[in-house]
Amino acid sequence: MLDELKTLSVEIETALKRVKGISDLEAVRLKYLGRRGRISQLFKRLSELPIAERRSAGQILNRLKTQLEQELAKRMERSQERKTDRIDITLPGRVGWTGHPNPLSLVIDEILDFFIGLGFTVEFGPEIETDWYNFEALNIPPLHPSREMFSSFYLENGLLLRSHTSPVQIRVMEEKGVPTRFIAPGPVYRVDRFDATHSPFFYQIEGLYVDEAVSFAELKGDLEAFAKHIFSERVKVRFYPSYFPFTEPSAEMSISCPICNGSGCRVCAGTGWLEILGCGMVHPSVFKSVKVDPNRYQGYAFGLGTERIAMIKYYIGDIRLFYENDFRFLDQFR
Amino acid sequence: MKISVEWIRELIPEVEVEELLDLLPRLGLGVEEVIESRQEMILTGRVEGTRNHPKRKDLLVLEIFADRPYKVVTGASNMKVGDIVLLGLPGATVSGKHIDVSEFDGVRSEGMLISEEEIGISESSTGIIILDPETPVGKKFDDLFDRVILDLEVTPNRGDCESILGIAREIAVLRREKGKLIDLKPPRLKSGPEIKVQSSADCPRYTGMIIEDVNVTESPFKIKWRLFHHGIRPINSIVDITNYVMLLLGQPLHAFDLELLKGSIQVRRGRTGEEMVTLDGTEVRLTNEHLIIADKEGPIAIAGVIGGKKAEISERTNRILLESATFNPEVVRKATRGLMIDTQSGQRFERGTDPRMPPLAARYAGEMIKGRPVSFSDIKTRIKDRRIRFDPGRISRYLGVRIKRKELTEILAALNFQPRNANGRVLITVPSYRRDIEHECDIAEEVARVYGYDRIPMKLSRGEKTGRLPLELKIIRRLRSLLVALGFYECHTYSPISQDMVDLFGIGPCIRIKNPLNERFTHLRSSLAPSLVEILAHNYRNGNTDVRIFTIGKVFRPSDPKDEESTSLGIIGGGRIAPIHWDLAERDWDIFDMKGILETISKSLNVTGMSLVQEKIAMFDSPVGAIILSGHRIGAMGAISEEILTRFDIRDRYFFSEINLDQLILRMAPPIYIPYPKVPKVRRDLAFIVRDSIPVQDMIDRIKKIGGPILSEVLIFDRYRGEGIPEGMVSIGFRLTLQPEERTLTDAEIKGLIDKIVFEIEKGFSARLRDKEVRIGRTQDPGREDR
Repeated sequence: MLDELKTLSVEIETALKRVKGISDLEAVRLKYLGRRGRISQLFKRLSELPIAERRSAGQILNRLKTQLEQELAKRMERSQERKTDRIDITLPGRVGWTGHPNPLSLVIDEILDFFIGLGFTVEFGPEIETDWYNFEALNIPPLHPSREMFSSFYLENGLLLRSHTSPVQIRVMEEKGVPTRFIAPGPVYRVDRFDATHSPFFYQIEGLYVDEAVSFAELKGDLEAFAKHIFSERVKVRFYPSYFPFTEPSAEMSISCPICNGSGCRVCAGTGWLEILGCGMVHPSVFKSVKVDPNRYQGYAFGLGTERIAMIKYYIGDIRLFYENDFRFLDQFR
Repeated sequence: MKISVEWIRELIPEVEVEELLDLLPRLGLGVEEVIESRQEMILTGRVEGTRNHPKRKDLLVLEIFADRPYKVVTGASNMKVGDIVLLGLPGATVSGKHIDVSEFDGVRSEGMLISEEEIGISESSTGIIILDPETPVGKKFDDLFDRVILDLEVTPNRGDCESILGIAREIAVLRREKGKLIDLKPPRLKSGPEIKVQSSADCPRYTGMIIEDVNVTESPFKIKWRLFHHGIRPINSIVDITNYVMLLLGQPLHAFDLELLKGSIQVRRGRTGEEMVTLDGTEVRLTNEHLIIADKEGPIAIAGVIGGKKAEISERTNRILLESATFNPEVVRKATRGLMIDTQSGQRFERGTDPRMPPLAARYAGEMIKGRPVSFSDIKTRIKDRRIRFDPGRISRYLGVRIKRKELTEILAALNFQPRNANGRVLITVPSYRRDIEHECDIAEEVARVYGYDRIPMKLSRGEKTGRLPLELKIIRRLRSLLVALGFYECHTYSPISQDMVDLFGIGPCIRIKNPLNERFTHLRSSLAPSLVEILAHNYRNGNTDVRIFTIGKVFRPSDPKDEESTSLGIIGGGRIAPIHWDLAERDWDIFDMKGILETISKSLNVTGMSLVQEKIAMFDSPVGAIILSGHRIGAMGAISEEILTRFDIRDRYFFSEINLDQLILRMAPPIYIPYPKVPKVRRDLAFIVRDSIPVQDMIDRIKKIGGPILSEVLIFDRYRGEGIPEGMVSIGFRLTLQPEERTLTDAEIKGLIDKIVFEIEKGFSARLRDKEVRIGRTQDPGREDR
């Protein structure tokens, strides 16, 4: 009998699978649960069994019966619904919570993707640095006035928190040599008071491209393409001379304000232009620090603050918002 | 640095503000601010007559001739007939004060005479401004005195631009103009005074000029106005001239009262124990680190930084020693930084001054000072001009533009580099004021600057290698997408935290910052918990109690010789598990929701073997556990302690977990395809009644061990206590999936394995099988995934 029950259960399952409409359901019901149905027949045969077997067979049979009844009822109801529009589909669906990325990550991803597309790899460096990597190897000797441009937090053991991502230039050229072409994103630390546009902690992205014939014209070309990629094709770029100890010539790149299209607004302080990054040709002293021949190799480097890019791109007026992580702020990014 | 456009115009006539605003940034001199000091409706006028006010003794009635005669009542008395004064006409606004026609006891006043206080250059003044007698009458104030001030951003390499002359020189270069901007000559005087320079490395040049019969008075208004707008407080006629010449030529000067000096001048290092009171009254202790100017008795100035009180110029001064020198920039910088004295002189010396300038500036000042220059000494080392030979072709390759030889020569000549051809190469001589030009690349920048950055074409580069996103970033991106999809907010956080947080969370020792910005950021975090709890608290305060946040960032541990830093993922969750819905029962987060997140992460990153072990951790209340991956502790998870939550005024439960991502990534396995089995799998449900102190994981591990490779999955589908289950016991339902690889299992094989599992579990855990059942749709089930 138990074997028979097992076969029956498989049979019922197969039968249910074949069901197409209400009439099939009714047929299944009749076949198994009807007065002459298989289950009813088996119940009648229970009395023929020995006592020990009768009990467990009875239990199984009962369970089979209830399960089938429930299954049929459920399917019947579903079939009815399909026909009669009894479900109000204007009721809200079951959704989980919606999460949100921080806009800073969105911008970092976009910037990295652009440069990866151009052929750059991505490198990282430690946030705790030595004076050599953060300054001296980058042509910033002790007591150099330009140290004020990168004022650093020091740790008790004489190490410091890197004040820019440029030390990664040194580390990568030292470890992997040249030619090289990479970007290095990451947090940097500067002794700088908080205000709407300054933070002692922010994200930088460094770029370095060194080969035998990398020129200033390519620096301009690549960064123009970058600006158009991040902001819009309409954006124009402008390069003005600047100064960084580790590049020569050095430049500041500005973009035409994407908000007012260069006609002057609050964001660009009426100038029509926004400074977005510093760049230049790698200084020969930097090459000397990493034992690369400056007569054979030349290259460009740039460094940008990602918060600044994100602020322009998303009209964010205060750098502190990225780190406050207020849901009312994050809710707007996806 | 502030420069007045009117002053620039004295060197380069007719240059307009608009032109400067265009040219200066192209030269690398960013204009930070344009400050207009407009003084409309103020005219110069001559005092024609003065009489007493008929009723008031404290007032005078003046007749002034400006563009026409005016009658003005004034309370001042420092003028006489013939003086040139400043008349504010009715309608003028001076320092926010409106001037109108007014009556003083029956006498009408058609304007007001202006004092220094009123025009804002002095805090108090006793009388009105008396101008130079040569000043023309009836002229507008704005036409005579500096009006437009540009605040320039001069980069630290361009010390040569820290002057009116320097800026004018730059503009002339860009206009490719030649010719002298100012006629400068060295003094021609008899030799003297006696000067001893200890080290020419510290002080490559020291000149001193003695001027007698000087008359220390107030400076003319024009000079005072000019100094004030360049950020310098007017003092007296001598000091003002030294500052004026510094602003004009970039050469800081210092004047000593010669009567107060004893013996000859020495330029030497300070000695321990020596002290000096500076001009602003600060007492400084000197050491061997400081370069000083001294007389026989001791220090009289800190070289290049600030003078001492001892030889200060006063109204009684009759003979002066005028110092015009070149000091070592690093030595000056040590002093300004060490003593924290910031002066305009110090700023210029730190950036390096022109070694040819001292005698020229001395003579220029000497001619401005009313007195009799009598002698001049010049102690110097030979000035070596730097010569650089370079390949013009290389410059073109460097810049990516072909610059015609003729234009190149023209640019170099405009820069005063005196280019000469030398066998196809070019030899230049760097002018002494350009201390920053050292390499070929510096010449490239100079050429590019004058040629115009905007004329260099833009060319997209073509690398030889492909770009690539590193594994670490790929995984971080996947994690971020996963958690965002699970309803989490991604947060960015600062890595420094406060001592208070280190203690509260019990996460010390942490690396200390030696020069923290404030007490909120004194230590580098060793856990992401404080950062995330602060964000939780911020949003909780704003009424968001359903909080799911995560951050990915560095954590730090002190270690020798190098501190350790690693990348971590931190997660906080709490509040309701889903938004309210008409058909779902509300439920709050518990520890298994957090554990579920970790399990989802581990599954989706293909990390196997992650487990939890109970452990006491300071920042958590129970339940809490350490996260173990292949025997390594890679993180922790638990309910944030009540002590912490109370400190942040949080009254609900929240859960925190943290995983070391570096460790997790190490143990990720890339997927490899194994042909999936074509034979049906078999499911069996087993429920055991067991003591509730037995960890379920132990039972799962045992079942898996017995089942071997054929047992592809063990799930817990039920955990039940209550009716029918004895006290202290619990019923656990296991759903086993058997997945044979080659052929369908026979009933006997299945039964054999299940029986063995039942036997072993009953024996090993003192458990009792509760139920073994047949279910519809749960038997042999070919190819259907119903998880």
